[in-house]
This record gives sequence, C-alpha cells and structure tokens, in this order.
Amino acid sequence: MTAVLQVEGLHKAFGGVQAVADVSFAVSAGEMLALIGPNGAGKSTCFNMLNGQLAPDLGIVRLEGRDIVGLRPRAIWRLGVGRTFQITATFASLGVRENVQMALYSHAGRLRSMLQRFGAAFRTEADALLSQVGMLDQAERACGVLAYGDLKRVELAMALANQPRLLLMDEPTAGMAPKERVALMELTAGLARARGIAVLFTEHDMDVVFSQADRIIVLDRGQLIAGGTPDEVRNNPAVRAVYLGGTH
Amino acid sequence: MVGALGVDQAKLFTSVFFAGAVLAGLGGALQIPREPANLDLDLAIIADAFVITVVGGLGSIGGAFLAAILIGVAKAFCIGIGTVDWFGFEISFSKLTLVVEFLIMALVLVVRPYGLLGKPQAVQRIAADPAPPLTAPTWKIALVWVVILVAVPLVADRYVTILLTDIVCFALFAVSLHFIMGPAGMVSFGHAAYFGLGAYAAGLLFKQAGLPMEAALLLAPLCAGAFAIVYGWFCVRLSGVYLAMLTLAFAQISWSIVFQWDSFTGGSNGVFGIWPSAWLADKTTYYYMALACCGLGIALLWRVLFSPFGFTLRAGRDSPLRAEAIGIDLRGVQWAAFVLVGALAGLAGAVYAFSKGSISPSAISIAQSTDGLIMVLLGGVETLTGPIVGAAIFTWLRDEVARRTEFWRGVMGGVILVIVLLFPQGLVGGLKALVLRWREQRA
Ligand SMILES: Nc1ncnc2c1ncn2[C@@H]1O[C@H](COP(=O)(O)OP(=O)(O)OP(=O)(O)O)[C@@H](O)[C@H]1O
Ligand SMILES: [Mg+2]
Repeated sequence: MTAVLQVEGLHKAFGGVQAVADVSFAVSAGEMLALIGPNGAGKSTCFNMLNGQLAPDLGIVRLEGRDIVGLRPRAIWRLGVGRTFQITATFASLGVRENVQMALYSHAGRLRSMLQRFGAAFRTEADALLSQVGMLDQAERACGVLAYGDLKRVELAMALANQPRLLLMDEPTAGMAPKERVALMELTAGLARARGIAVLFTEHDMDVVFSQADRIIVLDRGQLIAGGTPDEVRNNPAVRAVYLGGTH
Repeated sequence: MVGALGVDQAKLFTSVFFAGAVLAGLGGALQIPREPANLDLDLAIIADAFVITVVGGLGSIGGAFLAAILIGVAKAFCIGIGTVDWFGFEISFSKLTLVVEFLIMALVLVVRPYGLLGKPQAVQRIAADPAPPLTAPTWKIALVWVVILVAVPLVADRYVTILLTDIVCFALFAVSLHFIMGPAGMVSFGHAAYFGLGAYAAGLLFKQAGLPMEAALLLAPLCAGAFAIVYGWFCVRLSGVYLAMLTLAFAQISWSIVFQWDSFTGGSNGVFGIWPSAWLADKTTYYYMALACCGLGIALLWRVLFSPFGFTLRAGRDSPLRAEAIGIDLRGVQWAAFVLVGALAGLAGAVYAFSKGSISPSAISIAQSTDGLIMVLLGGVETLTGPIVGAAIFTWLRDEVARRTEFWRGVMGGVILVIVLLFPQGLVGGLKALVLRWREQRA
C-alpha cells in the first residue's frame, strides 16, 4: 500500500505549551486511521498543521509524496484534502444544498461568475452527496437552524465534494446519538475502501474508534505514545494508564 | 454567559454606560479652556476617540494611552514644524494636522492589524443568529415600482422631481453600502469616500479636463473604482471594527486632500458649474437619466448577490474558515466586491454632482458616511429593499424637516431614534416581521 499522507517529526508550540512534539505517522489509501488522546492532547493542532491552517515549527507533511508544508488551506484542498472541523464550520445563512453546491462550484472553478444565477448547476451532484450522508430531506433548510449532528453530516458532504484523496475528520460524530455515530463512520469506512480515500479521524467515542479504525495512534500531551491495530492499542499498558484508565 | 452567572446585565451595562458618560463629560469639561464648546465637537471627538482606541488596540487601556500620546505629540509636531522646504518641495506640515491621526491609524493597522497592543479578536458571528436568507423583489413588483417612479414627474411638480433625483442617487449609495456591510460582512465607516470621489472625478473631468458631461459621467465610476482598488487592498486584510476604522481613515485622508488642494479641487468651496449637457438640462429628463443609471446600478448589485460570486461573499461572511477550506480565496473575492461597490457608489456621486451643478468636500465627509449608515440601518440591513426605503425616508425627512424648522438636526435625531426603537430590525425588517405575524395569526 502507498501512503497518501506521510507525516515526519511534526512539532508545534504555543508560547510555553508544546502542543505537538515529534509526531510521525502515515495513512494509506483506503485506510481508516484513528488519532485518539485525552482533551488537549494536540489532536486538533495536528489536523490544523495537516491542512495548512497552522504552520508547524518543524516537520514534514507529504501528500502523495509532495511536501505541502507552507501551502495555504485552499491550495491543499485543491490537492485533494477534505476536512471537517471539531467546531462545525458551515455557511449558516445558506441552505444545506447550497452549502454543498458551494464546494462543488469551487471544485469546478465556477465561483467567479457575477451574472449567472447560483444554484442551477451541480444540483444532482449535491443531492447525491446529501443522500449519502442522510441529509437530503433537509436540503432546503438553512444550515443555521440545523441540529449539531446534522451540521457534521453537511460538513462531511462538503468534504467529499472535491473527490478527496485524504479526509481529515476532527470529531465527526460529536452531537449524534450512539447508533448514528457508528452508522456514519461505517458509511465513511465504506466510501474510503470503495474509493481508496485515506481517512484520518479523531473521536472520543471508543466504540466508534475500536469498531471502525483499521489502525489507531494515541497522542498524549503532544507525543505519540502508542500505535497499532485496535487490539494492540487496547492491550497497551501505557495507553491504559494515560487514557483508557482516565476516561473509560 | 454572564447572565447565567446571576449578573443583572441591564444594570451592569447601564452602570458601565453611566461611568463612561461621566468620564467623557469630565474630559469634555476639562478641555474647554483649550477649545470652546461648539456643535462640530460631536463627530470630531467621536472620530478621535475611535481612532485612539483602535490604534491602541481594542480592549487595551495601555494601548489607548500610548495611542493618545502618540497622536497628540504627532499633531503638536505638525503644528510646530509648519511649512518646510525639502528638496525644492514645499511641504506644509500644519496642513497635515487634519489627517495626521488617520494617517497614523492607517499605517498602524496596515502593519499591526489589531492595533499597537491589541490581541486578535475572537470571531463573533458564529454564535449570533445567522443572517436570514435574502429574497430579491420579484420582477412584477420591481416593474410596478419602475412604472410608478417614471410616472411621478408627469403628475408632480418640479420640486418633487428634484427630491426624487436626490433619492435615487442616495438609494444607489445606500444599496452599495448595504452590499458591502450586509452580505459581504465588511462594515464601512467611510463609504462616502467613493461617493465623493466619484462626484469629484465627474466634476474635475468636466471642468479641469474639459471632457463632455457624458464622458465624465461614465469615467467617474472608474476613478472611484480605482481608488477602491487601492483602499480595498488594505482593508480586506482586516476584519471587524479594525476594517471599519481603516475605511474611515481612507475616507478622511481623501477628504483632507480634497479639502486642502485648493488649486485643483477648489478646496473648501468645491467645484462649481458642473451642469449636464443641453439634452439633460431639463430637471425631468435628468431625473429619468438618474433613475436609469441608479436603477441599473441597483439591479446589477442585486443580480451579483445571487450569482456564484455573491454567494461566495455571503459564505465568506458566515465562515471564513470553511470558505478557505473549500478552496476560496476570500480576500480576493472581498477585494473585487470592494471595487465593484466603490465604482457604483462613485456612479451615484457622479449623477448627484451633475444634478446639483456643484460638489463640495462635504460629499466625502464623515457626516456623509454616517448618513449612508443611517439609511441602511433605518431600512434594515437584513433586507434588500431596506436600504432603498431608508434612503428615501432619510432624504425626504431631512428635506422636509430642514425646510420647516431651524432645529432640524434635533428633530431628525429624534425621529430616527423613535424608528430604531420601534423597529430594531429597520423599517422593512420590522414590517416583514409584522406581516409574518399577521399571517400566522390568520392561519
Ligand atoms: N491557538 C492556540 N493558542 C494557544 N494554545 C493553543 C492553541 N490551540 C491549542 N492550544 C493548546 O494546545 C494544546 C492542544 O490543543 P488541541 O486543541 O490540539 O487539543 P485536542 O487534542 O484537539 O483536544 P480536544 O479533545 O479537547 O479537542 C492545548 O493545551 C491547547 O490549550
Ligand atoms: Mg480537538
């Protein structure tokens, strides 16, 4: 398997806080890699460095062999990286379908037109994505009035709009009922395998993590302390001590 | 949040307001020996105070102190130095006193987007109610209005026609301001810059360059747009109050140049004798031309709002983070919007200039910018037609009140206060809410 994403020696400090220290890992096409760790471990900070929102102090991020450190998020998106945020970021005053259409228009480079009417193009594509994540029945509603779990679904649909090679999902199932969580991640895993998308996700729900991830890496106070298959991680004494011991 | 902790917010805000007012009053009283109380103190001092808090950085008392000293010293220096001769150029520093604080603010904000000692602001919009979806008036309703507006001069007198000409100019001005502050989410405190620069461009192209009126009218928006290219490039790098204050700084810098460049712009007197060509000399004909220009300008702006470009602007206002994450170059888009809006405000100014026959620096003043903001807020920011209604009512009211009483400023202020208290979402926003409630009750 070829690594879609390869991270080597990533570092980031905020003032005196070493949020991420010497983190290295790789994700292959079609693989579901879970990045877990207690609150404040540095997971979101890692994500932000992968999609260009934050500049790492040190380290290399390779997307299909190409170093992407220093590129802006929008450039990294164009290289095929989709992302969902821990605190959802959608266009609140626009409709659900329009949100997804924005991503589709942008992917096609058609957002510059000033005189056409927005919304006629990419309707079927948007609806296909929305039905995949189970949001088609709410396509006409404004994102600003949606339940939190539903916003996460819209975000996933938007992240899938540019046919990504890599999906970065920061707590994709927060705000959902336990059953929905597993269902959504099963869907993601299915897409990942069918299309060869590499998925890196964080998640606090251990049922989801251990049932859906192919591999798990564990972050604690900025450092990777363990990694391996779900079984290996489950039985790792260091992980039990700092992580599962505390919250599970 | 504070409310959840058991603090009475109304009381808290009122006492903070009271304390602020006492301190401001004390400041005012203390400075009396320096400058006698006068009516223009309000806007001047508001501008100064705003500039100082923004240069210092919002929320930083130390920063405000530093900024106050910096600006005070700079002003004193400008007066002290007077006129100097540098390499054969005569530079009058005393003339700079009018703008020195705005120059400093522009420089500080360009280098330090959050002021001298300020910290980046948390993004506020997310938690607030999202803006309601926009709806454009249907073709039928728009057509009815066009017919009415075309018919008015046939039945009304000359005075009404002239007033309507003013109104359509200000309507385009207000709609362009609404475009940038509503859907695009960039509040401009200095929108008069583009209106005024368009007006001056028209006047100067006509008088100084000797172009025919039609050419001047067509080129003026391009000139205003050219200024918007420069100003906008800096402004879109900021957000929130800092952005608003930088727009104000550019407007004031423009104003002071126009105000002081006697030989070219006519200084405080302005430009005179800019009358339309013979075929437009008749007030009614000119009104139709103004209606066509401004109506098309408004139609264009509305059309753009519903285009992919307009949706991108709204998307960027709702979530800059998400916009960037789906490949949008938000700054570029906002910059383009700035230029578009500047050009159309310039068109409004040019049409206005030829309707009056003269143009004075007050067209670029803070007061003109504030008028625009009042028009938009009066009608309602969250609606498309609001700014037009606001412009119409404001212009009509000012005219009406000014003719009847000397105290028109006070009366205007009172009327606006009442409207804002009765309709916090603006007139059109409030009426829409009323209609909605009425329909729900009947259903
Ligand atoms: N912009 C920032 N400025 C300063 N400190 C920050 C910033 N962002 C994160 N941190 C700090 O870095 C550390 C890691 O934060 P991060 O958000 O990456 O954790 P996380 O693993 O995503 O936690 P959670 O599970 O709560 O989302 C924390 O100590 C946090 O306080
Ligand atoms: Mg996080």
